[in-house]
Amino acid sequence: MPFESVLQIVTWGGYLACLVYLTTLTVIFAALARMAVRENRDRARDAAVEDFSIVRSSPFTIPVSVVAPAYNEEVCITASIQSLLALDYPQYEVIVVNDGSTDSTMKRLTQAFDLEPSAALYRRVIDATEIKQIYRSRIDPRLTVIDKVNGGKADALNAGANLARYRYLCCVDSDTVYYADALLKGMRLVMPDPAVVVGVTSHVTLHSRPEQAVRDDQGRTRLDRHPLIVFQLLDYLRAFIWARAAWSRSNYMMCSVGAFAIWRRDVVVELGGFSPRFTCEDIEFTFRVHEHFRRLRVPYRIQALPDAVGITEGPTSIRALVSQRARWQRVIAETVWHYRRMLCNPRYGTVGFLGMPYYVLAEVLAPVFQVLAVAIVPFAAYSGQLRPFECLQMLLIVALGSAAFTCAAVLLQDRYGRTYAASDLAYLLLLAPADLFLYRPIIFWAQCKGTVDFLLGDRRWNKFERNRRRVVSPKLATNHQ
Amino acid sequence: MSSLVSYVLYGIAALWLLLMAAIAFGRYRYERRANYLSALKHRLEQCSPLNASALNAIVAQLSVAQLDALIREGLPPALEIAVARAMQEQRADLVHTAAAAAKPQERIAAVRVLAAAQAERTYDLLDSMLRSRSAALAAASVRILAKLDNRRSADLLITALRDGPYSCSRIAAAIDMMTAPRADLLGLLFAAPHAEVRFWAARLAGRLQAAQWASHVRELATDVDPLVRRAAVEALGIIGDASDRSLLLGRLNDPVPFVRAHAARACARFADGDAAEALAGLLADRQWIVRAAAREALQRMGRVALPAVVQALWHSDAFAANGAAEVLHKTGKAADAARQVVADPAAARRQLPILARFLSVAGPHLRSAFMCQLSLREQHVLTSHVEPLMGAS
Repeated sequence: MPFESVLQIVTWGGYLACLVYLTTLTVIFAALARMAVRENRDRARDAAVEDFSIVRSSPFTIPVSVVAPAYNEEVCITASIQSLLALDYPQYEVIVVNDGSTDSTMKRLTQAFDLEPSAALYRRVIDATEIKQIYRSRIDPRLTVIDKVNGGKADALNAGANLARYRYLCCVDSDTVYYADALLKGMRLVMPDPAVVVGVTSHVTLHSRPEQAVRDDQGRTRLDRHPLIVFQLLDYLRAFIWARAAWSRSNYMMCSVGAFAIWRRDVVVELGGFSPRFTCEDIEFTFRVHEHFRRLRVPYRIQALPDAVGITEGPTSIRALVSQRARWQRVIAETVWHYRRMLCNPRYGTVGFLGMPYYVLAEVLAPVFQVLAVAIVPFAAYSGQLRPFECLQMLLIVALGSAAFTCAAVLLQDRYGRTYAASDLAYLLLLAPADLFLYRPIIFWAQCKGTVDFLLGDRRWNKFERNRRRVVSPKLATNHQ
Repeated sequence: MSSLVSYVLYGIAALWLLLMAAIAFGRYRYERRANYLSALKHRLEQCSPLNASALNAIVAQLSVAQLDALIREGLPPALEIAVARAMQEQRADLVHTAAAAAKPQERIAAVRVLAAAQAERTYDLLDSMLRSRSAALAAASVRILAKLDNRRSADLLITALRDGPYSCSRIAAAIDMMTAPRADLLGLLFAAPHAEVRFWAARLAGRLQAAQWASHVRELATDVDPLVRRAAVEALGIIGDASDRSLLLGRLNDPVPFVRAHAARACARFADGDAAEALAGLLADRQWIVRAAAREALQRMGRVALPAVVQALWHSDAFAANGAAEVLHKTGKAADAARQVVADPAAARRQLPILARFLSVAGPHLRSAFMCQLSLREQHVLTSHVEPLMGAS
């Protein structure tokens, strides 16, 4: 067979494989649309009839232990904990776990909250590394700070869970500034049926400096117009407003968000706590909960809240973004590989037949097809099959198709949330078609890197360097409340 | 092939533009509606509730949903009643909408307007919404009944709590936040067959300080369901009297840990030596929540519990001894004793073995927290006096 024919077969084979992959993904997204619309609409209606004033003031509202692990968070720890102590919820405690920070995180906490050593006794029901000292705040008795040796985020959460007094744990990040109604909105999904709802997750919006983010007179957070932040935000909207809302409706919510996940404490204890063996604890624990309850055939629900509950720091440099996304890709691959027995296994129902295949197709295999799509270009050019005009048309189809999905997510968000001011909304929509050319290549590179890291067995966290700031004034830090 | 690709491209571009237009139009409609409502609200607030013709003219421009939105936003009470009554007069089908509209949102809006107008049919409609299978209707009904805040709405909520058409905790929370007299209506809950209802009966009796139901609560303290017993002992800690002391002390031996824990907290109300001794015994309970509750109760008892707590320092169970040390630390008694020793070692001779035992049984964190309360000089003097005794203790 002549070399040109081989090239043509390779080119057409690769092209066809990418086309089938892209079409399958588009069909899956379109199929999720109906459920996403209904879920967003129902949640908005529920919220409209909900009487938050009763929940807010009732002594019968389920109390919650908020656990915030912190590792080298000196820049934003104070603003984050202040926002947690300002949550609008009748009864809760905040447990900050300083996970062996090497910067001045502990010093900042001591200064800001007037900490004193405390002799709290607790039951060590989950394995966690040694606690050096427990502190209580003289300013706010709801605040406890655990100072422990470094053991990773999962280990820090386990240490916090050991000390938690209440039936529900709300796992949060200490680089995130939370809205006052975050816990109220999250627990609203638990309250109608605490026996069945074992987990609730939500999502956060992005800003380069969350502690300085301001809200306008209508309570809308002003958009950080850094293009990288906006592209990430659009990515979040597609994921949370679209896919996860649909997953939640069919009870196969596959990934709780590390920045805000509420779990029933007895479930956390029963499953042995969060696993430090994985790079990130959030997705693995969600998979474990599904695996556990479906194996035992016990009714349960993990629900996703379509509203953003806070503002977290998003990377504003390509290097930081690649580092973060490569870790996410690695974590997904680690988890999917570990729980591969659930894939298409009838015992695991929608998780096995919808959730797992989605992850394999849309996340784990994405770099393979992306590499293939790029690799066939030189082959096509060499064999003379690359026609620039058609190539441009195809690129435009993918770019506008992606922009259409983004617009649909923004439409849903705006219909039921009205989170953004009109000018911010216009900015979001204008940047959407550029996503394929300016943002996707970075994510492509990160996913490839993450996959290689997974294959090499890398387990590092690779925390991205915090964005540079001026000194944070306390006034600004409390502005968001 | 090329033309097919072009058609797909045009199709997707058209879809994208359509979605952009939908967002822009949706936002425009939302802003226009918000501005319209804001202007109407402003006009209503300028208008006197007694000026019927002006009110009728404004109300004629409003839909039921719009008036509902204004009521939810908040209108002055007199104006709210006047506007809602004007709407009731103008819309003959309002009751029908409230009773039978297909969309829950329409029913809720109509009932809210009728409730604001204080219409007679409101309560029947709210009751049927509460008992409907729709969670949205039931939630809205609870919210409106709580806002009405009168005997009749309380009665409806308590009856619904007994019959269980909707989340008991949500109904109980609504009853709890009302201000209308309602404690006397709780009677029908105590004999309910469902344990959850009896649980809420006891909890509400405690919350509303309904001492008239104390005898019923006493009966629930020996209920077969542990959750009911837990709520009953908690309520007796609030509304009980001296005659309940022995009943609560008996519950300290309940087989279920959380009942023992709540009984311990309730016993703190009866601060006497016997109760303190019984609670000190619980410091050695095998369940940590019970030990924590016993510590908390002994702390609250204060001086009366001191002999029992000091005695517990010599308990053979390490948890009990440590718990007693924590109580002494948190009540400040340990630090007081240490300062007495530092000030006058001879006069405070009796305190020395207690402090030595305290430091022996306290864990490292507790010892460190205790020492932090003293100055360096006090620490030095105390250590020199206590250290020789620590081995013996």
